[in-house]
Amino acid sequence: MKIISLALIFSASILLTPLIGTERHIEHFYYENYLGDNQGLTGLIGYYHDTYISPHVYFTVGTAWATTGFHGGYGTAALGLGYSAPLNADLEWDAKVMVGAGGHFLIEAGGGILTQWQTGLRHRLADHFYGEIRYGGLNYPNGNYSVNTLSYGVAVDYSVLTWK
Amino acid sequence: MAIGVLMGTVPVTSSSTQHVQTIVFEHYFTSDNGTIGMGGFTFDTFLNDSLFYRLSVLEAVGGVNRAGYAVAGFGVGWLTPVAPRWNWTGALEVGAGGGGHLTEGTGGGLSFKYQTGLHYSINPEWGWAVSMGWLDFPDGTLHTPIVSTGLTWRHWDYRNTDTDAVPKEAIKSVQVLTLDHKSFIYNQDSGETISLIGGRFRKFITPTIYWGEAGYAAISGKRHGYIEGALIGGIRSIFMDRLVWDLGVGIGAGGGGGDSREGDGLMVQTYAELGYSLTDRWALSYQVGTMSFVNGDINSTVSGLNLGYTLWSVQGAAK
Repeated sequence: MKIISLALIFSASILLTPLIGTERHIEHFYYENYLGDNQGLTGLIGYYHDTYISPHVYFTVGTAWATTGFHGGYGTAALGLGYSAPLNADLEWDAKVMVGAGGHFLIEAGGGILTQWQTGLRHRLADHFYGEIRYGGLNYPNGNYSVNTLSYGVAVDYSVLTWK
Repeated sequence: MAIGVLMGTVPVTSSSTQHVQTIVFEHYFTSDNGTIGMGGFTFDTFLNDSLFYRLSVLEAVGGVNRAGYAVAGFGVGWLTPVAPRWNWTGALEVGAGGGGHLTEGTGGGLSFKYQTGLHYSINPEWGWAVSMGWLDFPDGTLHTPIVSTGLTWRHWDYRNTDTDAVPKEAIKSVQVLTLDHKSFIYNQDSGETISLIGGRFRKFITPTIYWGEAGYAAISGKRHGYIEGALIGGIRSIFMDRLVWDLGVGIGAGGGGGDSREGDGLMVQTYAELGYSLTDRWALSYQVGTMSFVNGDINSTVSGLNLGYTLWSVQGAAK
């Protein structure tokens, strides 16, 4: 068994070396306010995960859930594409557009499909750790609910090794 | 594209980041109408040997008309050895939840959860956890002791590591994420259908066998707020160079459409996919399958389109 394990390790090392690469990821933890005609739905907590498919373009997926405004159970889940660019060594700008789903019986969300955009800034507070603020909009195209969003929170970034 | 993994029992270096995923079953001792059973996942990412941050999502699978009740949260926790194979663990979470006829119970949705318990390592990768705790919705009336148990899976990836210093113990791992659109008949009597979008995340344990998670939410019909989550397992492979086939089953929870047909939320699903690899990373497929609420009255065929995305990560394994 030990010989087999060593052989597998050796094989892995040989195969990995020429194929290795890195992939950037950012995880966002934030609090979000719905602004404008929010019909009482005021605050949510959210989590988004960005996976970079090029140095600036990323794929994003995440979810946000109501915490204030007596809309317990309201939530959104969305995915989309974004673009980010450094403004200086510690400041980065990004923007993203998403499509997703959400709803609650107290709002007119149509069938539940939603579109969302966000843009914002994040500032490095420590290695791989950022504070960020974002502004955006959220709309249920088949319903009658549209708000602007203001989000603030923290983000962590890291690169992971990939083999292809 | 080759779907495959190289498995080995090798040491993990200090440059690897530990993750523990738990398939959770949780019991609420009280609510405004009896006890509630929950199923879901926690995902722990370790910041050092014992401290981790957590993401969690659970949805109702038991109780009286609790379909659609769900809670998601994030927090911090610890896992500390106390004896060979035994660890003391705990977590504090802030979250949000609601649905399942718990409007008064959850109020605005904000929740706090406190848990502590024991974790037993069956082997370096798999283990079992049991914990006691408390769940509190400060804006609502739901305040309950909870007990949780679950199967844990520990794995490692390499973060912020220099690519020139590829760890010798690294192994290759494959995951496939599919972004899905699917439809099913929500009400057999009226013929009402709804469409969902979501995804499935498959983690391969052999070149063809995988397990993972699935999640969906309604985008058309009149059931906005309807969601599904499931633990999935199946077989996926490639034949004739570019054709993909995939067979799987899932067990999980659904609800939020506001109809008692959803029962207590527990549901099972099956699917069969046939697709085409557009590139070595992307594949397009079509699925047909079934879904059934075990204690409800929704049983339907399912069909839809899937866009697959393959991820190749380098991971570690423990001694």
